[in-house]
Amino acid sequence: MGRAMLLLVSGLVIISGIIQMNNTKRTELLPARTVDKYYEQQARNISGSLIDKAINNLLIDMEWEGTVTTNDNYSGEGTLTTSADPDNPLDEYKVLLTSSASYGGYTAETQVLMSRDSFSKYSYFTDAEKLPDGQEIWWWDGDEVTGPMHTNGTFRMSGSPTFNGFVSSPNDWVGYTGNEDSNNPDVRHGSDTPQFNEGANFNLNRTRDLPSEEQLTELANLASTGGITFAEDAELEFYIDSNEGFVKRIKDSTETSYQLSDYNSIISVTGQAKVKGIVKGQVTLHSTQKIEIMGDILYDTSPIDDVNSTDLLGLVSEGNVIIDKDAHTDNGSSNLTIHASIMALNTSFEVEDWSSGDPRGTLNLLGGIIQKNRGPVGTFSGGSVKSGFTKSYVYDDRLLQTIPPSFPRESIFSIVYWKDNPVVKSDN
Amino acid sequence: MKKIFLLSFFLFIPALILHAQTTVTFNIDLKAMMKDSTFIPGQDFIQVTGSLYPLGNRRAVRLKDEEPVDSVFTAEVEFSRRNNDENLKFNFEIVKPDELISEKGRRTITLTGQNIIIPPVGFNSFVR
Repeated sequence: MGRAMLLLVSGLVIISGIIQMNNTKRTELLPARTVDKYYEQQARNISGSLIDKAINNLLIDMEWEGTVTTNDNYSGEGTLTTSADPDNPLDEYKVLLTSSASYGGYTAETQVLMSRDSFSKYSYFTDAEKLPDGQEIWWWDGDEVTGPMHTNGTFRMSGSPTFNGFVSSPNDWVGYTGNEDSNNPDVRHGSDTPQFNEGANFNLNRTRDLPSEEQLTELANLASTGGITFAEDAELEFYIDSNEGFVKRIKDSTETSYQLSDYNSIISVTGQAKVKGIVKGQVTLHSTQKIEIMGDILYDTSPIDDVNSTDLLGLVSEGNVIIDKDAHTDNGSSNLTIHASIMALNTSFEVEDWSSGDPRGTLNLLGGIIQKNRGPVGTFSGGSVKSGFTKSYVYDDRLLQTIPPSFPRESIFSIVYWKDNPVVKSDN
Repeated sequence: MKKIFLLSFFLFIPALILHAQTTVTFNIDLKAMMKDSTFIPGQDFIQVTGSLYPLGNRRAVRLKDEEPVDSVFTAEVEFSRRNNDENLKFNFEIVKPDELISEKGRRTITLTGQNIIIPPVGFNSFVR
């Protein structure tokens, strides 16, 4: 018994000795580690501040290039430089910000890739959620949208429409049962419950402005230096011959064909453009006035059937993009299919005679719509279509990464990635 | 010279004020309602109600099928410039001798000071 007690006490003494030694060692190391941690953090903070400063510069002036260096306001030293994206050095719409900052012998480096995204990434974009005549449009039960959505106006929700892509706006949405004059979200939303399955931000600090006239002039200039231009109204049809993509212009029963691969993929019409056909390759059709869709516009290889399809079409109208009232009859059915990313700057993508006549079939759109004002494609009552088309819009997922040639870009940069490289301690 | 200036000033200002009013032309296509006798011309009438004066809960404006007679009923309503930038909530109602039929959806427009023509959609039909 006495021997056991002796062993127990000896053990406790040894253990408490070990703990005491460790505590002493920790007390010695802790200040040093704390100081190191502080230096590391300072270096990291300075590096991040330089990046923030550069991002702010880009928000004010999207053409900004240059360097940012630390001054007396910073506790350490550092420099930020801008350069091209190393993976795509020729992409003028991307800029890599690299900042390097030192403090107390520690150096932190941060790299942020910024990009001016193309409007084509949106499945749905409006400047205002109103018809050109001022009527406001509601998203209803049964509406289901995929891909990124944005409005500079205010989304109006009735019931539980479903959004399977990120939704954004500078303004909070208003519910059918809510009160739009209220700033209290509960009152504003009422009992309506839209489903934002990929998240949403209704508190953006600025609008996303539609492309400037400069960008449209640039598009027309690109067409006139290596693309296809028409100085007056043009009726165009895309087609395939010998596995090559062509576009033909039909004028007074005369057809003139252009092999798309002989040009720089931009077609510009000074006037109105009528278009339909099968697209092989990547093309952007720009028109200074309206673009009228006369029949199906299909990719040679639909990305739904083959994810590796490279066929891509952008339609950029400085007027409306209108579906001709007889477009659905061109293929002998009551339906119409369009594969394209569509931009209508003045003002809408809409259907001719949308409010009259018997209901047509289904309007199948694979791509996205970017427009100043939301345009009408038909009317409905009690869940059934009364005039115009039934909508079936599917987002072309490739548009998240791939852009129709020279499709207009947003005027602001967004962050592609933010990379904090490990903090390094200098040898000295 | 001073007189000319004053005269043009007094002529110009009222013109500006008048111009700043919003005239809304309400249109509704009742072909479908006539077909199934939900609306019987001569017996029933169609009216528009709204949230801003001169429309209101107890103030409705009747629409008429004027030349050309095509089942599209029309009424013009002027809104004061004081209402510019305000949202006008409005709906159509069919008034029958013993029944009032209201629409089941919401219609809204923003008054801008410029004339607005509401395209003729059907009763209880909404744009999408």
